[in-house]
Amino acid sequence: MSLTLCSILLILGCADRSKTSEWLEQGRQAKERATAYAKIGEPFKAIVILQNFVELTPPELIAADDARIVMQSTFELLGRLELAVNDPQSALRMSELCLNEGLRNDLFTARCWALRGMALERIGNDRLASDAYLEAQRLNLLLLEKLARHSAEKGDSL
Amino acid sequence: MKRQWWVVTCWLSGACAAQAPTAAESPNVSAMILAENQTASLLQQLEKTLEISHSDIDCDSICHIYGEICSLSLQICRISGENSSWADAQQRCSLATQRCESARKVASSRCNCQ
Repeated sequence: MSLTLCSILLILGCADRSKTSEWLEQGRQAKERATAYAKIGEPFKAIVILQNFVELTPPELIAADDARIVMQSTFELLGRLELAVNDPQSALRMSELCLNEGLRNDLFTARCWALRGMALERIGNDRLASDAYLEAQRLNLLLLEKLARHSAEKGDSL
Repeated sequence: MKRQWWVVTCWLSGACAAQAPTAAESPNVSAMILAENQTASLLQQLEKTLEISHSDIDCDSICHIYGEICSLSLQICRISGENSSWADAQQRCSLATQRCESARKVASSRCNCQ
């Protein structure tokens, strides 16, 4: 009986891992293909690819913060592409979706703020753009100080 | 929920297949990812390195973030300069510049950034 239960749990565990890996692989490929299209001057195709990915629902059992990182990274790239095709309103929307994924003192959230700043600046709302840039800058500085502190503690000769 | 470090390394590197690596494999995976030189992934690697493996931090990462901070400072000051009617424009530019200077000190304490 316990062997059966263990087998079921093992299968369920593997299935979840598989779904997680599949979703990550889809995201990685979407990002890679979008970047390639953008490089050859096909930003609209790149946008469609990323839009298709963000419409997918992340696997249920993926760690919430890991899903956030993937989604923020994707929304940020999508927003920059929207700016490249001169659609700052869409870029602003992407920045909002990016920030809605969760606010953390990390690089991924900083990038969402920087995107928001760029979109607002393009729209002409310089005041709010400045706020967003300052927030991105603040987060980057926190990260830099953390990084330098850590490397000093390690005693590395960088 | 405890961070599933392999999830992010899969995403960042594209190096893992459908199977997630075991915990024992983590140092190798980290080293493999850190070997990449693309700027975007470099920064993401840095972030993950800080949170997960606490190893292999390099000056490229430090200098890149320093550059990012000062680049944002330029953008903020440029906006402020174009909108001199704002009462706090100067203050914002000043704050941004201070942060850039602070970043320079932090970065130069560890690395010789260009």
